Amino acid sequence: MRSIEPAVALRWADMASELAGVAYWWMDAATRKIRWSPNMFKIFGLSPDTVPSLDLAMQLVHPDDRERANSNLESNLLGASLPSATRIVQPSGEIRYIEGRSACEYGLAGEVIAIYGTVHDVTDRRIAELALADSEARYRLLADASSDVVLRVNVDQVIEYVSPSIRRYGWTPDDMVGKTAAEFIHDDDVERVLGHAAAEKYHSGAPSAPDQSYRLLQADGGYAWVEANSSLVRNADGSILAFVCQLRDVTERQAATQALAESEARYRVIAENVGDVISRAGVDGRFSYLSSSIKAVTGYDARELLGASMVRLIHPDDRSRVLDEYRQILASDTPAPASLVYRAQHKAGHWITIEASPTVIRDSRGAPVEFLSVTRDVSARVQLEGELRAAADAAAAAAATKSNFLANMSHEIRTPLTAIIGFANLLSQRGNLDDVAETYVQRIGRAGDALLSIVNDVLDFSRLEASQCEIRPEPAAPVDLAKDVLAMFEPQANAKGLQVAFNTVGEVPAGVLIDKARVRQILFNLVGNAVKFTEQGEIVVTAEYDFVAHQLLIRVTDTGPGLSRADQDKLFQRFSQIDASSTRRHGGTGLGLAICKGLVEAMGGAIGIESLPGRGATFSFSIDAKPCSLPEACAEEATPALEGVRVLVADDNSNSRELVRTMLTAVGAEVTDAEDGVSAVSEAVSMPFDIILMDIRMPRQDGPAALRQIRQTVGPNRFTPVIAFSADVELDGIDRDAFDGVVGKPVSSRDLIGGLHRCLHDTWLASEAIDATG
Amino acid sequence: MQPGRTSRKILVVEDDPAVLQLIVTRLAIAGYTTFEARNGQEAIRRIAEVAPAAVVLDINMPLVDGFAVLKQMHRNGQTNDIAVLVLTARNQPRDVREAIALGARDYLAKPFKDQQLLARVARLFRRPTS
Repeated sequence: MRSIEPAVALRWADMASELAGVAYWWMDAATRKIRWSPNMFKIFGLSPDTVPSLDLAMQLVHPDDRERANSNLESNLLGASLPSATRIVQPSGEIRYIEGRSACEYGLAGEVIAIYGTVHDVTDRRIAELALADSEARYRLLADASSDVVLRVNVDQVIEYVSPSIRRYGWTPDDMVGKTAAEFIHDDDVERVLGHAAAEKYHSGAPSAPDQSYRLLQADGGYAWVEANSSLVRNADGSILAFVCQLRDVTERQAATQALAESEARYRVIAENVGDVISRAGVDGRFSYLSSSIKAVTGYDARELLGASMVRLIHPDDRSRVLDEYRQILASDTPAPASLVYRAQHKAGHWITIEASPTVIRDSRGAPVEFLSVTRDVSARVQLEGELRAAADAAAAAAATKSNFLANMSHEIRTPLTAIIGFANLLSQRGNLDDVAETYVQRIGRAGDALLSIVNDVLDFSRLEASQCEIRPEPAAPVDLAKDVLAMFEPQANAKGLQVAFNTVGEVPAGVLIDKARVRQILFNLVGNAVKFTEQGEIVVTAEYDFVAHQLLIRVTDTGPGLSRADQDKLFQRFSQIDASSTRRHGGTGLGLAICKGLVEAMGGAIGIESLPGRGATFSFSIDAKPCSLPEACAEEATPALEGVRVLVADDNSNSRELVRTMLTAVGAEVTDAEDGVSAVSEAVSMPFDIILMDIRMPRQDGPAALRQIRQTVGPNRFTPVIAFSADVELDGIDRDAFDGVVGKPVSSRDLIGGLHRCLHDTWLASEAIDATG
Repeated sequence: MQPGRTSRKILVVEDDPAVLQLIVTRLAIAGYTTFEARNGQEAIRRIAEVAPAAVVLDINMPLVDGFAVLKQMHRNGQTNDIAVLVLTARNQPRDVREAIALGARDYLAKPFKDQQLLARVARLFRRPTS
């Protein structure tokens, strides 16, 4: 320094500071006199001729920075050097940022003789810094305001920054910054989130880590589930600087997932522990889940069947049916059928019967996703059902066998019985028997009759039991019917000293549609019993009619011994007689009342008894009985001249057919209907008739055409008399001679029966002539 | 085998001896000339021997039943014109139709009254002259 002029040295220094863009100053420690480099004046915006001073400089410092600048100055005096960005306000008002550095010059004794320093205008840098800080602050504001937590963790996993939203977990950012992330993660999750594998994955260069959930420690010691979405922050050279993680709270979602998992687990526990197999299978039928009970049912482990098709287990004979059912379940929106029963093969090879209740699980658009089925082994049940069915079949077969047996037995007994009764009658008719022989023959006949009625009872009963009893309603006079039956028992009753009486309650129609023979049979039984069991007093039969229900009600009242309640209950059961002694005394099968009950019920009615022991009994029954008009023949009690005669009635008018049927059945004829000529011919070629009543005008085939066909056909009715049944006008143009007679319409009972009689005279009624001449 | 009152020969085929006896007696009293057969085989033989004008034929017989007899008669040109009255069980219309289809002229359901038997048999003998 000494070799250089101080003024030259100063100029050089000034030049250097100019070139470096750095101003400098120098201050005499003793005098506090300051010297500035020329560019100092530029920085402060002062003219070069301004006299620099410390005070002047301090005045130009921004008031907000002045205190800091002062303390800095003190520090500088003490010899420290601290860079700082201090604002100065130039006299023009422009703000510049400066940084300074200072040092001390020491004397030989080490005393400070001067302080000097540099000043650097950093305004441009500072403005850039502020702009950056401003943008950072803005982002920070976003992070702070978000409920999500933003976290920056360096490569050493030390937390560098945490957004204030961390407060929701009880922490402040300060609690966490500077600590390792692992301290705030559940022990069980640390390895997964921060462990080696995770680090590897990040380092491998994945642009962002996949979302992952873990438990975040809360200040209160609890944990919150967060989902972390991490990204890497890299240097320009690509090395990793930090991780920025956004943590979203998923505690609720996790709780729901957890609950679902627990509930699933619970159901799984149930599924694994019930005897039924719970299974899931894709729409392709492949099992995706099978509860462990599959082993008990099929012998297979669940593992052996997973992925396999359920079809594999189904019996080949059941396969197509079961698959069809499944397809149907898939195709339709209707719920699955209650059950699907089919055979499946057990691992051991044998077949078991299983019952599946499949449900289709569908997605939100309704497309089937899978089958959820509950399946159980019903082999035992099916076997039991089979056995029950077999037992029921066997019972039904046994009942049918019994019924057949009874019918056959009755027939077998009746055939010889017919011979016994027939021969007894023949003997009796010879008229040359002595009195003793005559008595014996009558006894044989009566015993035969009694036996026949028992056999008929048994036959009736077996028919009723097999529901084969046919009820044939026909017009009948109910009052006459009841009186007739009573009259038949009158001699027997009188012989015992009993009175018999008949009366009606209210109005009873003259004619009703009932099965006369069956009603007579019931009355026979009831009146017969009354006479049989009554020792003194009277038997009264009462008829009454219910015009609302169209039912006939008949009561048979006696003054006999009566019946206790218990006996009454047994009364209508089959084979029941009140006591064994009564059977011996009174005979009979014990079927009579059971048959009456069956018949009455078959006729739409009911039968009952009212009785007190020692006070007599009243049996009553009701049956369906529509009122009707009585055919004249019936009213006149004409002789049943057409007993057993088979008549075919061809008429397209059903009322007309019904009328003829009513008139003819009343006199004992058997009537078959045909609704036109074609049906008439069809009947006539297969069944023999004694006479045919043929309407002229009928659809499909008229009467004359049908007649011609019957006459030309080799059949049972080729020679059967055919009567034209028509109004006279219709007979015009018809060959009357082709017919064996004419019965006109409208028809009367007298004309009809008379017409048939005339026609039958030569054939049917000729038997008597032969009998007489024989 | 011409119809008419000249031939009054009738064969009764019935496996039950008592019923057979009853029918035969009844018909004999009525003036017919009666012949008996106790089963289907005997019936076929007797028809050939006797050449009856009519046959009363029980349907329900063991071994060779009434249907078999009808079929045999139908096959034989000599006998297919004989009038046959079949005896059937009650309520068996199917039996009746089958018997009629096999050539029987008439039927009577058991049990029957004497008068019905006589009336049906009389009808067998009354054949219109054509």
